Amino acid sequence: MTEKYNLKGEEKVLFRLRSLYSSFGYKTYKMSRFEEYDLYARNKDFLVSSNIITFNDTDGKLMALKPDVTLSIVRSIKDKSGTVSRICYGENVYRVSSSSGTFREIMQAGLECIGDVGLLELCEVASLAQMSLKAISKDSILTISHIGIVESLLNKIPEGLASEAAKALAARNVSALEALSEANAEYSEVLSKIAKLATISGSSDEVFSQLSEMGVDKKSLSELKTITASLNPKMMRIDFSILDGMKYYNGIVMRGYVKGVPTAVISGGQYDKLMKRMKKKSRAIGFAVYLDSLERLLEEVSEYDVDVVLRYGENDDIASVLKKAQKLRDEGKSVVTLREPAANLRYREMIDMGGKADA
Amino acid sequence: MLNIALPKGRLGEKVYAMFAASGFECPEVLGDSRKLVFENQKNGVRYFWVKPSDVAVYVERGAADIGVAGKDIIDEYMPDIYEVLDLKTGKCRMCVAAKKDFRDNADVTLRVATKFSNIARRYYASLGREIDIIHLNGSIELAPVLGMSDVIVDIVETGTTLKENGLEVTETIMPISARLIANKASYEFKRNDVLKVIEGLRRQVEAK
Repeated sequence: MTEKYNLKGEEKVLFRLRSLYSSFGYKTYKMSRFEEYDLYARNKDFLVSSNIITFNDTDGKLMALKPDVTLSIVRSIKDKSGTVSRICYGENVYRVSSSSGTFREIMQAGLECIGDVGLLELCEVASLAQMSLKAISKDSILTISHIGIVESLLNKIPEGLASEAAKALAARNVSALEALSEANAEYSEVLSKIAKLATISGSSDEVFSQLSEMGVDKKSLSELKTITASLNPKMMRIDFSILDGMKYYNGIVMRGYVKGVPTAVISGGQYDKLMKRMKKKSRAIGFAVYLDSLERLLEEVSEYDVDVVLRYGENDDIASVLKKAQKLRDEGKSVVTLREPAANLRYREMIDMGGKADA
Repeated sequence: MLNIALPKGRLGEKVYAMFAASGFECPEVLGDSRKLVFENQKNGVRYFWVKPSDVAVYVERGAADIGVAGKDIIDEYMPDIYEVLDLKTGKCRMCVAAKKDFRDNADVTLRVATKFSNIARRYYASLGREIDIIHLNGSIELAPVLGMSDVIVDIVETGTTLKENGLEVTETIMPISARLIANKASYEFKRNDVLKVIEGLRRQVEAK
């Protein structure tokens, strides 16, 4: 139904996502564009970039143009045991673009599932991420990891070494992990296991038995197994290189890719750690879809700028020109009235009202 | 079809030889032609030569699925890519160098001339040292000679240029070598092809 309106690709996707999320009982959450700056100052490392557009409100309070939606939703949700709040959004956020270094307005959609979140909710949100990808493109892949698994290995080595190892794992830099393992003989066993994580992929039982032999956290492993089993295996891959945000993510983390876009279009995970930092008891999982990165992918190039150019002249009766144009529009055509079309205007047909003054 | 960005110059030619020996040859690449893009349908590869410092950009933006870039470029620009293999060629060091008679006075802001501003900034931040970065695009060695900077942060291969200008290495920041890098989305969508290249090149590296 949305397709007949003249919508841009990302707008269509936004509508599709909204109806997908509402079919799972997610309620849309409309927020103010502003938020007190304090919220972001306290949770800076949760943000993609720490640059924020700020201004003073009329009462002098320092405000910010929203760089992120999740924090606002988390703050507004009250802890209530036994329930789960399902919230979705489609909002503009304001962030610094890493390529230009200047602020950009970015269209973002997403959802948050907050409350007594159990395994069922985790599975549901992961598959919603997969369905969101499908709403964008036929060719998509959801990559998924579990922070608990990676942490159970990283925790066995000293902090400085662990952060180096994490950096290498995030870049799938096996060479660096092998070098670290050679240079730190006493931790070489753990480090070579981490190197193995960098190349592991797939979801078969073989991968899981490999992982359990490595002695990673059992609870996390069984969680990941259950969640991946609930996903479409053709559009899913285990990927332990997803590591940014280890300070607030604790369980599964996800990235979504669609063919034709060079960066991830979906990013999210389970963020109980963030909830705790914000003094909330609830558990939570969510993800965001970066609609701005789809602009090029979904761009529809139309052959014509307009269906009909209605050419009129000084001797034409204005009322009849307008009437004729409206008649054509009622037939479903797009019409511009012009004295003379510009040279680069692409039109399907030209109708001359015949009232041009004699040249 | 796998798109591969190679760095123009000697390193690129060396690296191409490794690709060719792994079964991804495309003889035209080394010809004198003015063409920019070289394709071998049979092997499913398409090569293009780009400025070494631009390889990471091509890969990050997905114009190239994989590419070869120096560790210096990767650490300077920190592109959002995978760094999948150390090719152990094009080896050199990122160093701090100064005039032979230079004595560091930790009491004043250190003036650092470099092409690698981010690397220099991070290095001195890790030491807690206050610095003044002078970003230059070439002939870095000139800066301390003319007294514009106290030290330089630059790549040192043999050290001959330094010696000729009366400079010497005072600290090594990190070793540098050529790395195979991969676009994150390509790593998923062209996984088999990318893994085949990594495996082939890994064997080349190990055989050396």
